[in-house]
Amino acid sequence: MKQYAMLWGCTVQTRLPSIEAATRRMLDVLGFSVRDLEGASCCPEPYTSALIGRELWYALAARNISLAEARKLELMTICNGCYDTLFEVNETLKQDDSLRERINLTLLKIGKEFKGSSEIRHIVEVLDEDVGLDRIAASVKRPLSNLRVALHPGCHLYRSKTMEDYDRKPKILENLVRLTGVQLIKYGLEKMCCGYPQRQADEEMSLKTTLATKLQRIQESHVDCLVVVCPGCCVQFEYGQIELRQRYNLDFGVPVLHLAELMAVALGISAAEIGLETHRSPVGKIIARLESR
Amino acid sequence: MNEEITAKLKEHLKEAFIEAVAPREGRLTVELSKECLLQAAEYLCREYDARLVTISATDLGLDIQLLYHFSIPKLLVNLKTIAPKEDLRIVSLTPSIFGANWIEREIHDLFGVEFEGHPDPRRLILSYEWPRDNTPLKGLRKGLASDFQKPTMENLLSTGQIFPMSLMAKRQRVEMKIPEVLPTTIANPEALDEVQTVVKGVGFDRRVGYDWKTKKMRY
Repeated sequence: MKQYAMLWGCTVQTRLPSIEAATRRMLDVLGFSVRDLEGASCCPEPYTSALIGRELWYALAARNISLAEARKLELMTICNGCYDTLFEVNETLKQDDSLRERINLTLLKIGKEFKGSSEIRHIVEVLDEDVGLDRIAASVKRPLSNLRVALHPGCHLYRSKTMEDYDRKPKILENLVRLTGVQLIKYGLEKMCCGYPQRQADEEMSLKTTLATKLQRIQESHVDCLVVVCPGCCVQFEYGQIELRQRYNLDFGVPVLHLAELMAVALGISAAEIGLETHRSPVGKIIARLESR
Repeated sequence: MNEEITAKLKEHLKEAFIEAVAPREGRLTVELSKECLLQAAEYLCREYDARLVTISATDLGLDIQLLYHFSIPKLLVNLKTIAPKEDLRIVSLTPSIFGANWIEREIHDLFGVEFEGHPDPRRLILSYEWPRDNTPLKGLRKGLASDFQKPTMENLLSTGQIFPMSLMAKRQRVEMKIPEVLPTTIANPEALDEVQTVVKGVGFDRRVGYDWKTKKMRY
């Protein structure tokens, strides 16, 4: 069986610890262990360092991957942004010999080497392929059949090695959400970006044009909550709703949960145990319904 | 000859020597800190009979880059140094190499670089009525990162993570019975040192204008 190191990512550890708590409890219940990636830095995030200094982006991501390689572990993440960075750097460095040599010269100064022996895995892939959908289905103690859920896969979940493979992970995500027993509601804008990266260029456009458009459609679908699989998207949907209300008087009131949190509740873990009340979107109003079965 | 001059300048300048690049046959660019510019220039003139061809200046946004072009038979050696816009003082070569005289005066007029020790620092090409604080080829001090990106960069370079670990987050983590702090660069000084070595190794700190002392951008 493959052994995994988890890169939790900056957003989860500092701003959304409930996602980490839910993931740890969920994996415990499923009997699947992961190790924290010791000495990890930011992945680094793809919107600043990758745009301003691509060499640093490659080098820091390669360092994180080398930490897993040195321990002979596969690298796993619960963040689409981390996945995008690590996946792209891993694949690029495996294929581009001269770039890999250059980056390894930099890593040599800190006694590290990128070998290209590790694969980068998103948690939805690990849950599907290593844990198994049957095992998850058998572990569901609290089917959430009274919950109408909209899904936002997030742009970077479509990152893949081949064109044919581009929607494999979003489909796995749908299957995982369905295992919790919820009613999955289609709203037609699933593939639309949440607008988080657009904040770099135009905050108003990110909020009013992108986020509000998406939230409007979700609200019209009369769902109880939105489920995401990326902490960056979660921040955009949660803090973005606060900003839309304060700056533009647009109130959507859509609760936002990460996949791991939804699954943890379905596996019988209490909302209080994983700190669901710490969310900045109105998750409180669905907690009673989450735990009603 | 390239290797010989590089090795000797490296030995002569010690820590002031930053790097040497030979882009093609007959060209050598040696980057050094501005404090040792005079020492390097005098060394080239004394040991290799070098002749100062000219000096060129470029506004890099945060710094003024100065290239001192020296001619040695079959080789052009460029001494490259940086004058940060916060402190545009640099030693004048004119007392040692008189050919630098008018070039330094021109760069002073256009970029505001103060050549310390220049024997005749009068204006050369700007008229005497031209405002003292207006240097036509020197732009505002600005770097690559936008205001929105600065906190992200500052956190990444100072802690290895892009968000600070707040007391509230720590308290929430304890209440959720997960580790108060993960074993990342936040809790591991050796790992952070590795990250910062990588940052310096690829020149990212200089590229974005990060000040290691204040842990802030210079703009």
